[in-house]
Amino acid sequence: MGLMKLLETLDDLRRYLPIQFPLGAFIHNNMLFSFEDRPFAEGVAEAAKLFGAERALPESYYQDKFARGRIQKNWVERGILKWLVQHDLPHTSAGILWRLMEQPLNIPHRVAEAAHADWVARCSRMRAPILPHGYISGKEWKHVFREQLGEDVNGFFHPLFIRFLSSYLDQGMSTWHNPDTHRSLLESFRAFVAGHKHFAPSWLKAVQVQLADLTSENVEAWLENYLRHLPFAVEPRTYLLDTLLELRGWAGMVNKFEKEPHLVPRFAPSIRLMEYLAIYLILEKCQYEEIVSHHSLTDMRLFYNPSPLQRLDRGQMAYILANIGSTVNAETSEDHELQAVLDVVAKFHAGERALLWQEALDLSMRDQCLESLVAFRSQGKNPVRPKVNARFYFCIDDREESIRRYLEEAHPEFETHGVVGFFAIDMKFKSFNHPEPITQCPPVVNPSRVVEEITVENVGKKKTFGHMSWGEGTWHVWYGTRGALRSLLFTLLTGPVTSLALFMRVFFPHAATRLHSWLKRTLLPKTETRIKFCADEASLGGYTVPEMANIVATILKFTGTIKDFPRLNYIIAHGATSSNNPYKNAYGCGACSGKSGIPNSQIFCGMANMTSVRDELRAKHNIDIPAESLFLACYHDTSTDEILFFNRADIPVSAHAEVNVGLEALRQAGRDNSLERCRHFASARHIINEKMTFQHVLDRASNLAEPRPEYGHNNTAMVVVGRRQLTRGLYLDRRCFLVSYDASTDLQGEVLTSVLAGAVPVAGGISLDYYFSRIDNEVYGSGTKLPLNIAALLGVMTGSSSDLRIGLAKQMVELHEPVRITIVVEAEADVVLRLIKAHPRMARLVFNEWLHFALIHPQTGAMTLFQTGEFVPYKARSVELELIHSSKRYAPHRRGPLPFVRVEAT
Amino acid sequence: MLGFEADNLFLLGFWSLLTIVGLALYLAFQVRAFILAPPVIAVLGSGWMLWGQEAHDGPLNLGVFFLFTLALSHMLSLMMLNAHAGGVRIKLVSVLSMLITGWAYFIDAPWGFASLWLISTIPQAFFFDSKNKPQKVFILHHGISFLALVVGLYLLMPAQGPWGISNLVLVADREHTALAVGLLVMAAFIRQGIFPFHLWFKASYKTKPFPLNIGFYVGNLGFFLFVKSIMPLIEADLMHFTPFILSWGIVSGLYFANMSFVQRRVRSSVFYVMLSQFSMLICGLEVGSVTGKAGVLFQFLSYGLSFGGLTACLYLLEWNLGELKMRRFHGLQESNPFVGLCFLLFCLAAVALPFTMGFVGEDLIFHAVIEKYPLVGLGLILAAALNGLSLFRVYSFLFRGTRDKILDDRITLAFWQKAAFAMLLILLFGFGIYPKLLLDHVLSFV
Amino acid sequence: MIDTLFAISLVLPLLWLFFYGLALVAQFRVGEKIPVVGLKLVILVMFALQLLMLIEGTAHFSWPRWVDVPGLYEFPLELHFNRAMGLAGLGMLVLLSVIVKYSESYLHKEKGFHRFFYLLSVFMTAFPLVLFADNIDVLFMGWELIGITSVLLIGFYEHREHATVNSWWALGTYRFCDVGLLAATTLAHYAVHTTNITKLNNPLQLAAEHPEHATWLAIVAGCIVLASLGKAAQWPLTSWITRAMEGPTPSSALYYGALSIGLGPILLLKFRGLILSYPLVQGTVIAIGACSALYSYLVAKVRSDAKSILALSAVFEVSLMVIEVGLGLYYWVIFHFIANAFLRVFQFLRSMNAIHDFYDNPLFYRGAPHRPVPWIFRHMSQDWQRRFYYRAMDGFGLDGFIINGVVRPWIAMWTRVNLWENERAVGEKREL
Repeated sequence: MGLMKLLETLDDLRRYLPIQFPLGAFIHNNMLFSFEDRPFAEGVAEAAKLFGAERALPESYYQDKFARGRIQKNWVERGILKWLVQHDLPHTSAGILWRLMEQPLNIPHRVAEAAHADWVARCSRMRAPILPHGYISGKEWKHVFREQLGEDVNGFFHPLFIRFLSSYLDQGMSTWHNPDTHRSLLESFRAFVAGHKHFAPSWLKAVQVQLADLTSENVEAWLENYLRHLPFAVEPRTYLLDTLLELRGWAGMVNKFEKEPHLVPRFAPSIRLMEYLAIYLILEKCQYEEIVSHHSLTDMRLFYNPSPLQRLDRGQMAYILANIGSTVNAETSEDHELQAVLDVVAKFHAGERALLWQEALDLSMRDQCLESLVAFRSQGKNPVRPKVNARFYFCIDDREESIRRYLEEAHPEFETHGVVGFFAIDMKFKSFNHPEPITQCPPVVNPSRVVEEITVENVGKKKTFGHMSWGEGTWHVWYGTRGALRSLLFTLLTGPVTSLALFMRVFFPHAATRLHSWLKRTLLPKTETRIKFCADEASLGGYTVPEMANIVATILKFTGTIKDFPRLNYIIAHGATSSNNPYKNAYGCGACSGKSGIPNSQIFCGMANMTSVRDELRAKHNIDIPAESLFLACYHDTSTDEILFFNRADIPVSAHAEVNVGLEALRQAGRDNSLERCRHFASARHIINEKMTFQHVLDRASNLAEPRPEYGHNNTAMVVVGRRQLTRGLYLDRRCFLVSYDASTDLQGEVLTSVLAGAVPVAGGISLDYYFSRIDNEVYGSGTKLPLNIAALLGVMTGSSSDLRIGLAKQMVELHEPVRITIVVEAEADVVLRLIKAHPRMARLVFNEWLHFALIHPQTGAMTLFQTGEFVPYKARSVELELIHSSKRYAPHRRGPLPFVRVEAT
Repeated sequence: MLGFEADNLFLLGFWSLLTIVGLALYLAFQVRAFILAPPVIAVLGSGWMLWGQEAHDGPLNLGVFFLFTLALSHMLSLMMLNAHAGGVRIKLVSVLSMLITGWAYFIDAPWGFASLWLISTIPQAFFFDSKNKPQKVFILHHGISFLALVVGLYLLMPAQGPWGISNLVLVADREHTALAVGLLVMAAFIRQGIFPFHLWFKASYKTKPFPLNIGFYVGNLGFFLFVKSIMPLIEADLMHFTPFILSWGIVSGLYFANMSFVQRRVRSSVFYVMLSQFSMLICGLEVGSVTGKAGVLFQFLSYGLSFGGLTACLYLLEWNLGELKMRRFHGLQESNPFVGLCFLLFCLAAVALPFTMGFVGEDLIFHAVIEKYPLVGLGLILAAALNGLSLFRVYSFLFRGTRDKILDDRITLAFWQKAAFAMLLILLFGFGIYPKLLLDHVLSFV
Repeated sequence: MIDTLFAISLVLPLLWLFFYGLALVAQFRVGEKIPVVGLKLVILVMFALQLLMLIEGTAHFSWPRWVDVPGLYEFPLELHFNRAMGLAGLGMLVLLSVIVKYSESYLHKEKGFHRFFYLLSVFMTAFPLVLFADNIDVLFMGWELIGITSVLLIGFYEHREHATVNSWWALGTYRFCDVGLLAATTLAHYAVHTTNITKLNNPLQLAAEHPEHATWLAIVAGCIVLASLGKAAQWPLTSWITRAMEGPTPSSALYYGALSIGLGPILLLKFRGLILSYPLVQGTVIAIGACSALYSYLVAKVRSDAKSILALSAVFEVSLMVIEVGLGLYYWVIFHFIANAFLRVFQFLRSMNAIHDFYDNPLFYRGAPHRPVPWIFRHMSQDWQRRFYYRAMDGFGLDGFIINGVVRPWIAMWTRVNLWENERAVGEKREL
């Protein structure tokens, strides 16, 4: 393996490492990002084998779903037939398979033969089928050491290595910072090992010897030599990959530090994955030699007998035949019949059944989405609606679907649209009291400039001093109470006070938050600030008038609202509040890299209200915005359902009354929204009236003890890119991303390019992240939140020392029905196909069927589904959509995911 | 006749007749109630004699308490047996060994006692299916112990006057009486498996079907002989022997406690902890004080119950899953939560969890031993601490960790098995919360 | 009247344990509401009772002949309530109510929900036993129950083998130190025929009554100090505390932030009279407190994960308390115990927000300067600072000493003995 080949393979292996950013900048993305170039089923199977993960939830979950009607029977039957064809078994055993699906028959380890005496006699003549055995991922020899010698190789050196790595990459958690971060990883590790002077384990001395002749220059040569003399018969590439995947969280973070240092919050030491690998392999090699010498193993082959294939014994066979039910009985059925039954049952074990259930659930959900749209188009009568007197621009987020629906139900004269949450403003925003500019646009978009928030009177240093001292004060307390001599003083002074604070934060969470923010408002100096986004005023960046016009035009064209503007247009950004939650960014606005979209909506409204921009729009983009129509910057908090309104100052007094009407409608829709959300919360299920659920939701967001501030994108299942008429009046149970797009105003499809480029990867990333974190929460997710322990301000470990946990916690995904997302686009087939082929990521996702992709013809409304490479007409079953009076009376007292229904009022 | 008192003879005769009939009926009709009836009646009978009579003429025969313990643990092991498990051999062996040991408790004629001492080892010897080293080791040990017993008794035979197990006396004119007592002690120690002589016990649990009838061990005659005849002899005028035997017990306890820590098989670790706890009972006896004796008898029942429960759980698991080694974590908690909970409670009860029997018994023994020999007594406390660690390690290896769910390891407990677990828990925690119930009646033997 | 209230406040949690345990063992369908509401009620009643007793000042409960051999040996259940311990009891109850309310939503739908609340109930029963015990045996009962619940909570996640191995660390330390407490009980009984704590607290009078065993009282005091080392994670036995962070956050907060780690100084406080009357023992207490304060101060500086920093700073506070007990303070230690308990529990419960606390702080930006080196090392040369840093990372060889100095050689020796024995008994060469 030449030097160049080693570098190549390492770069090739990097893509298997997790792509998760440090938790402060968490972004949803597909956990199996690097497997997207293969068809879905194949990619998932290969990843499951590589990571040792499950491919489906336990059977009991699907049986409960089947009992509730969430899985259609015909998909299960088709799955069984497909399975039989795959394993070339006769169709006659479909009955047995169906029976196994309904009552799973798990084979016990040992069955007393006396219990089934009659069958045992028959079974002795049978050929015993092979027992299914699980695949062992990772390094074979470590598994053999574990099974034969009881030696847990990783258990010895992982805690030591993790403690070193965590202190080397630390961003400020420890009081005494690692003095070696400017040195290379190898030098720092050499000093770390030298630090273990007294009572060091014997193998650590061998590590010191190995490290002596290793410098960051000759690391590649050393690695190449090492891989050539591996003591086990294994191919170097797979051995390297297994080494990286044993601590894939930390390895992924080291990879991020090396490749994308700008993501690191504070200080990125110059670290290379090659050095990480060298250190890891040295530790492992010394550990291996220590165990081999300790157990005096002369030759590895003594142990190397992979366990022979086990076969079912007579007792187990008798148990199967006795419990398989009426189709078979001891006297009449012949031997070949019994043999067929035994082979089928042994092959069709729990793993296979669960996989079949999972596919059926996935396809049933796709059908529910598509069939409801088709049925709604035919059954839903389009009532004549009064003239539009206000437009509301929401984010495309699936959590906004319910508040839009409540707004439209209460006020038919309002019109709502779904736009990308960053409102096409590609900026880094430097807020007033934080020196670090934060990206406020999706990760795929490269921010072009920094926009700054300055004080109105441009007051000097004094005002910022207040915020700086508050920061200094909190750090003083943070480091003071942790292992410093001052901690005695702090404990005695703050102890009694904290008892009151602790009692308040746990028993009266929202009151405590209000008190805290009131304290911050009164103590800190009040500073009116405004955002300087115009380029001409100062040097630091901002947008010129043509650029601003371009931005406003893009958004308006997105939604097709380019004529007859109403008086009020509400631009509503969204974000989330949660306390005590390392995954806070996961709930934020995905388009604003997990942050809240407040600056974006303020800037957009500022631009749209400028007369110079309107003139530019009228001239260049022939969009005529009448003088009296206004753009209002608002914010909707998806955790607490609060509505904030910002640019009251720019609004003429005459419009205030009308604006307040709109705002009150929004706030009422927020309260209705919290009522619907509370049906999933066990602690709020009994509350029915609005006021209490609104208070409950407020408490939940600021409650220290709440691992579930809201349930985020749980149950997300669909994206509809098209006019609102397709879905207005359809109850979508907060499961659908609604992207406004009017094909009539965009014939060539340039707008569609940016719409699809914005919506499909983001929605696909979110749904696949939730899908895999739900299917196997220990491998693809970060397990339960309770024992999590923040490490080096970069991520979380489980307990005192473990691998950096990747993916979503159990509490964030436990309500989610794992299904692939169904994307429905109202556009022409050839236009869409051309766009997909142009965008590489979208092409991979659609062609390899990592998501279901369907089209609705804008004029005829015919539905076509993308299958095996091309769009095929979709044969929808005729589904009768239930008609309900209003969502308010339909949702609150029902549990679990609901079928889509028609709402009468709108 | 043969040294039996009148009323005991009636109880024994009725009991053994019932056992033989019950066994025959069971072999005919396979109904578990038949085989369970005799031990239940033995428990009720001896229990009534223990608790029932208030004004009792003179101290009760020690055999009643030992019969109560033996019958109780035997009843539990029979209730634990799986419905269709094991051939006739296990049931035959356990019933026979219980019968013989029961008779040996009440017999007073030395020759009768010696012969029963030998016969009761024969059923256990049949368990060795292969004629390799374990069986030779077993036979060697028990042969020596039988010879030692016979010679010891012979040396203590007085020229005239009463000569019975319960009233052995140091005959003044015979010269080597000290040697006789030494032989008796050695016979008792071999039988109970104290430090150097425990190799036969290690060989015995190699037997193929799980040696569930540990009743043979619980109803151990060695300990009975020690309490009944050796202690009066030593207290007569051989008190200068006591420090040696006491420290021998403590050394044996420490040795077994350490050995249990390095075992690779779950069975051997649990049995070593049992050996360690039982050899600590010897120290409690040696002190000679009433507290020591009461504590030892109290703790004898407590260990019988808690180790009976542990071996029952092991029997259920090993019958279903095969030999369990402490190579890796088996992760059985997920599939058998109830058995896991019971195993943990029995482990903690065996190492003196407060509010259980073990705590009270251990407290009595520690106080009695350290009352006389403070420094040596601390070794006792250290051994108890090591046993606690070792048993929790066994519990963790069995019930912690993950397990691939290809096959179904759930153990469905039958009614009898659930009843046995419930009874064990009730007794362990019942006597733990209100120990006077048992303690006053144990005092009547001392 | 006050004594019956005291009896009720001790028996009430036992009854709760019995009924709740019965429901769990018999596998009734116990929802998530019952344990939380039940625990809150019991805590409320106990809080009211202890408040009344605090006003009264003292109360006594004794069951004289719980275990007795007539004339020879007596094991009475004696408990005595005084104001200082009453304050600590009230602090515990308030903290427990906060933890129960916190865990109600935090552990919702968690697999071990009932196991967690049952272990909390056992803690609630055992803590007053330790606080108000009047003889060492009753104290030992409460002490061991807390140890066992602490070990079971560390190994709470049964599917994680790493958590189980770490719980063995805690169990080993607790059993090693329980030897000290048990030895103290038996030696006190041997020397002065009483294990009553109030009597033991004036050793001069006892030495006068039993002149021949007077020296044993010093050894009993030494055993008490050994017993307090394990729970309070003092210097020679500190390595288990950073490994104890495997359980859910509320239990780590309650045990290793506040109460279970505070039991060390509480135990020394209960035997204040005995310890302060022997200058040698008093000296060792102060020395151990100072050693573990320095040790935990240095190691806490270099750790880079939230919970072990908090655990080690809690150890730092506890070692200050141990020094305070050595210096003879009394009410001050109780105040320090309660203040530290609340502060650490609050910090533990908020530890999950560390990342966003830093991100929201204006001083936290790319390239921001790091904290200065601790003042002890500021004057040292760069090379010495680096060497000290990595020695602190290793924990100054303490873990290494326990693993490679004590445990591993001991197991290797006994494995050889086992192999030798196998050949004799069973004739097999391989390990059996």
